[in-house]
Amino acid sequence: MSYAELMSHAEHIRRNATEATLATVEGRVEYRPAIERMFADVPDAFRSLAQLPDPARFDPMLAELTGVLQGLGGQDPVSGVTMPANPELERIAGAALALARWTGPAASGFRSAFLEPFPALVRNQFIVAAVLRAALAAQREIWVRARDDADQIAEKTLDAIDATADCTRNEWTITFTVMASVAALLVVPLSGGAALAVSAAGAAAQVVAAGGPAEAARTPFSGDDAVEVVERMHDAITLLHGHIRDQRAKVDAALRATHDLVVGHRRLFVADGGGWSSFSGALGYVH
Amino acid sequence: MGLIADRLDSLRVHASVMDGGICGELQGRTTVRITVAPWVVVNDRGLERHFESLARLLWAARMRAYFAAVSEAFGERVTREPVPVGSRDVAYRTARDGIVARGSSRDGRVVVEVLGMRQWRVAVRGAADTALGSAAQEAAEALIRDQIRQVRGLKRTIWHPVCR
Repeated sequence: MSYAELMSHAEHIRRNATEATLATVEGRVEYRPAIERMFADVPDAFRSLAQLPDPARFDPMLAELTGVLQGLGGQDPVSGVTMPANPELERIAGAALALARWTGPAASGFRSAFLEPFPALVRNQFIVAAVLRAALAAQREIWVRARDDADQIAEKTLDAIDATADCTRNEWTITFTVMASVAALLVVPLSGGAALAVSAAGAAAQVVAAGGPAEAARTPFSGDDAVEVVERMHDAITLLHGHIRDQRAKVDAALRATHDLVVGHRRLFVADGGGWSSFSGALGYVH
Repeated sequence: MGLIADRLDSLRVHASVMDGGICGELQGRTTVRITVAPWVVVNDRGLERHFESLARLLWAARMRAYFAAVSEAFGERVTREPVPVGSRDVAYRTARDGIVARGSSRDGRVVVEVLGMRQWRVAVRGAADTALGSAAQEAAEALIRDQIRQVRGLKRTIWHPVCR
């Protein structure tokens, strides 16, 4: 089976549950309409799961943010991957030497507002870009695993309906892998701040530090009859929606916290506006 | 068709008693083959006990095959029936375990009865001969059909109120 066929599986579940139940009335046609109504909502239950975002849609955005990280250079605090330093940015350090004999208010403003904090600003921008990239990767992972889990629910429901032709009760387990898609929040200290740090949530498979990923949740279900199996299918779908919400909430929390930090401490990420004004004024004076 | 349905439809388990003198085979969901070797000569009571043993062995083998199919389909080892949860499940289990299924051969020579697929009773009229095997398998197949019919009725009562 595959996720692409989820609605087709849903239709099979509806049909097989109907036939399994009809078998208990020896196929008497007068019961067919009532039995068909009992399972008519099965495709609807899967419809929202069949429209989960396509993980591939995240790839261009991830590539774009990888480009940003490569432009800034540094070690990704989430994945641990080191991006080589950007030689263009490294040349800024050389500017201090070149301007060593430049004095006056403009020189002081330029040095204090731009040259000196420059490495810290670059480092902090890198961290924020890494947090954004991790959030995207985590979102991608959520949808990859949620699709697998939805497929698993359909597959095991079909098998369980098959088994109800027997008189033995059956138990099956759904492993909600989406529960392990997002790693625990990471705290990444910023440079130049008073013990400030951003929060990050990453795709579990890529996170190298912090609390590590949550365990996949293994939930047992059991049933004797097609009606009961389909009831458990609805339970599993409800659980999956809840698990997806929980994982997305982790990513949202990390992004909100990071957004608030960037907005509240803008000077940790971009050069001070006052310094730039002094510098601009100074340029006028020089000319 | 799903994996479990496929496995149960193609299921084939064997058992024998009396050192192979009486052999039984379950095929698929309802077909039974029983052969009685020409050299098997015992009094009726002895035959009945041997057929009961054969039924127990065949059913145990069939349930092992069933759990193997379920294990394969669900991707985890299953060796026993899980405990019921909820009032309907308990009601089903209690009623199912109390089902008495019966079957007899067309000539009435062999009658088989089982309580909850656990306690078997076989009654045989007449001495062992080569036709006894086919009479026994007719009785066994009738019993399986009766068990299925009663289980379906029970499921209808408990889970399908619209069909009562």
